Amino acid sequence: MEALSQTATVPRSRREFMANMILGVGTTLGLGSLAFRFLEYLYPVVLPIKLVEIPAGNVNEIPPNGVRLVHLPEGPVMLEKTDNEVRALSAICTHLGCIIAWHPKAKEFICPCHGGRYDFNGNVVFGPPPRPLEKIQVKLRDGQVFVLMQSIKEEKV
Amino acid sequence: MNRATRWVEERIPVDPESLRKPLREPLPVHMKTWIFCLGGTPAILFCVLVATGILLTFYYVPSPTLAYASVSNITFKVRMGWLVRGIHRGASQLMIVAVLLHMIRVFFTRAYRKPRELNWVLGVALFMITLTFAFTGYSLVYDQLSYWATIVGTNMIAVLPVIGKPLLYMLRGGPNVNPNTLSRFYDFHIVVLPAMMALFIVAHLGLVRLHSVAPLPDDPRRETYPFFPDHVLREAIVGLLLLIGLLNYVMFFPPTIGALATPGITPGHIRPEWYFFPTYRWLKMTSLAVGIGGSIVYVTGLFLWPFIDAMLERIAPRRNLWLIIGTAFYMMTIVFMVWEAIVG
Ligand code: HEM
Ligand code: FES
Repeated sequence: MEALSQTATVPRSRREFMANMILGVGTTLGLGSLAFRFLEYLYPVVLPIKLVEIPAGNVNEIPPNGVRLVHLPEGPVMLEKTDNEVRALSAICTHLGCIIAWHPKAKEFICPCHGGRYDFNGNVVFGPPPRPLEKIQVKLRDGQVFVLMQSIKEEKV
Repeated sequence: MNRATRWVEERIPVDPESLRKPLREPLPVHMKTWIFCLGGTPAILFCVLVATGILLTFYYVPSPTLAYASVSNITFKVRMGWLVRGIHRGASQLMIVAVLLHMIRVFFTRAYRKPRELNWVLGVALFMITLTFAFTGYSLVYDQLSYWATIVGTNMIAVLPVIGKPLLYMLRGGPNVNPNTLSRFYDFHIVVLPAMMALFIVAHLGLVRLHSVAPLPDDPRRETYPFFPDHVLREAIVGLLLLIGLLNYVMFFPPTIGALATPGITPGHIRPEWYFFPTYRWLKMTSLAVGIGGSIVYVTGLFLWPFIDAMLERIAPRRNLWLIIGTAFYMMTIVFMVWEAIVG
């Protein structure tokens, strides 16, 4: 009896199985790709890296062997003047992104968030930051300082 | 039967008798002890938060240029605005205390063991949702703390290997914190998280019902008492006391607002709310990778605790390893919190 009913149902159940398979796979693919479009909708437009020259004031505004913090729309920058060059460091802490401050007495950059500290060259001397401060390229023209930074022109989508 | 009742019963054909039985669900007498009412407290507070939160949306504007002014407006100009905002903030603090206490009571009565493991997992998910509520909530004010907490909090996600960056962009709606970020946090705070929490609370209570409340290990008493009206009444007393406490707190300490967010300047003294102190202290003490990795291990351990407990029991039966490890964990967390509170 049992064997008989089994053989009797095999062709039908196979067809049913195939139909269910197609339905199942189809539904999964359909809903899946729709869900993926929705994720895409949430994913922001990320512009390719494009460095532009941003004016950052006059050389004379930087104290000799000292530091000047400039707030540019592209981000905060620490300008430094040594005896023979002008250079720039990003003022964004490499730990979790707070803005560091220059402490002239200690001759260190100190981050208020988790106490990370960097020396004049941007190297970590204490605390949790994983990397030195990011170096930013500087150009000088007629006493004007320009820094090369990521353009934010069309970022506000 | 009068005509009105019959009218209703004909349109909504539910037999009132069939509702009586589940409402009368018998509870073991130990639930009469007040610490066992702690599970109901977050549920009550959630309702308070939803009610005051809806009121806040009438005046709050989720835009970087207007958010701060709209919160000031609610706090200082709108009639009873200070009260609504004060209750919302106070209830959010109490919510965290309540969830923590409930979790501690479930832990030390070991009520999470077989077959209630999944309800512990759901509970930890509720705890995480609670913390995310708090985090997104204080981002909305757009004062300095909001802004820098958003920067630091979202940057933590970027540390994850492979998925970190995409996840960060997704959350911020761009590579940096920008106007999209506030919209997203607002959306999470008023739509996504409340929906998730309501759903999870229903599932959580559903599971409590299906398993009935865990018996106390060494309690010989076998008496029970009904959920309705007895237990509901006890919870109502807790709810009323909470509301009275909250109202008085808000009267004496009306809400304030910090300085307006300034993207270029991180203020010298900045730190998160007390419930993030343990994480905050840990991040200060360790390298970035260990800081984030350690936090992930901690949370994973919390989620998997019932299974870890079962494993410990199998390895070393009746050594009470669960108690030793659990107490050590709680102590460590409290020490970190107090340390941060004192040392700063
Ligand atoms: C929004 C947050 C929460 C709400 C509204 C909530 C609500 C409740 C309620 C009303 C009960 C019934 C027993 C009692 O009142 O103590 C309960 C039991 C339970 N909860 Fe929660 N809970 C929340 C969060 C948590 C968390 C964070 C955990 C653990 C990580 C947890 C784990 C459990 C477990 C395992 C039970 C069963 C305990 C037993 O049977 O004795 N819950 N919860
Ligand atoms: S963000 Fe600077 S030390 Fe953490």
